[in-house]
Amino acid sequence: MKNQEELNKELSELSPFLQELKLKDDGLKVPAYYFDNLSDEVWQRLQEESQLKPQTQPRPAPPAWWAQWRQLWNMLLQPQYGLSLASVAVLVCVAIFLLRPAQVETPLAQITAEEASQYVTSNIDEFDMAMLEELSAKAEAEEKSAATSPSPNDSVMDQYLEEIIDEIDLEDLEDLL
Amino acid sequence: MQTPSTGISDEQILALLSEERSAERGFRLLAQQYQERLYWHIRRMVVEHEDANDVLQNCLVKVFRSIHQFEGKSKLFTWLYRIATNEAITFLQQKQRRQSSSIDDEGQGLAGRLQADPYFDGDDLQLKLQEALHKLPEKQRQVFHLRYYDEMSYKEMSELLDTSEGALKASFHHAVKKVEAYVKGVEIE
Repeated sequence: MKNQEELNKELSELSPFLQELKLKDDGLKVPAYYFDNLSDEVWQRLQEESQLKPQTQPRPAPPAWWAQWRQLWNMLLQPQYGLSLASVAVLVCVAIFLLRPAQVETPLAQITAEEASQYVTSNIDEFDMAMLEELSAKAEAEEKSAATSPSPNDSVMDQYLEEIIDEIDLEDLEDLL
Repeated sequence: MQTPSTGISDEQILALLSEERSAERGFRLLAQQYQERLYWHIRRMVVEHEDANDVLQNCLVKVFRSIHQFEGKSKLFTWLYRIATNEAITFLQQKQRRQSSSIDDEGQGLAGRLQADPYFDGDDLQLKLQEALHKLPEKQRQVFHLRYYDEMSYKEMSELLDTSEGALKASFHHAVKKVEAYVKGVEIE
């Protein structure tokens, strides 16, 4: 009512012509019962559209444990927590490396020739045959050269005997004989 | 705010709309409460009934779907008015693009469309008034409608259009002078 009075006053000053025209019918009409049925029509449209577009419905809320997990995960991704977590991970890796049990390895010297031969025989498929042949040929050659050359002990013994023979006095030898 | 049509407050309507089981009742009360005011606001902007019906239905659908976005910073009716105004402007822009006609052609076309509209029975003076309104710039037309037909205060208009009261007053005065000159000029002829 107050607005209407203000408007009338304003129009009377601005345009009495439009003030008078406002009192007349503007000629705009609506169909009969239009407003009675409007909410039914719109509600029916809303129902139809919601059935046609089920994806527009809000998704059901995730379970509480999922929300808590997401919250924890997001917290861990924050820089201060992320750095702490990374430091702990590095320390754990170092500790695992340092505290790992020492591997027990059998020294080669303790392996007998029989054991080595048995191992090679049972795992012959895993060896390079060309390499084995080469090693075998090399071993045979060393064996032959060892057989033909005088052993160091024999030569030393010969030299020793010769020195002793030279040192023995022939007279002493005759006395002994 | 107590409403004259249903006797139910905006808060009660909003509470009903917020619950899924009572949303339909809330929507019907909201429509019953505001549909006539929104319709006439839209009808005076788009003029023809069929167009006004389309725009009003779109407006009510949008209101129902986005009611959760209403923060209560303004009156519910102000928020509804804003949605209705935007829907009507969008509709007019789309219609204008479809027709690919100039504003003068639109004015000419409007008279023909109104004469063919079964829901318009105004005399020549009213026809000229409608033509004059459609020749106004969009903002002036909005201000004229809100003040002249909806009898809104400048304060309410300022809240609705995000414009100062002084600027709105100036805009309304310009619009009144232009409309009067157009209608009287035609009448003299």
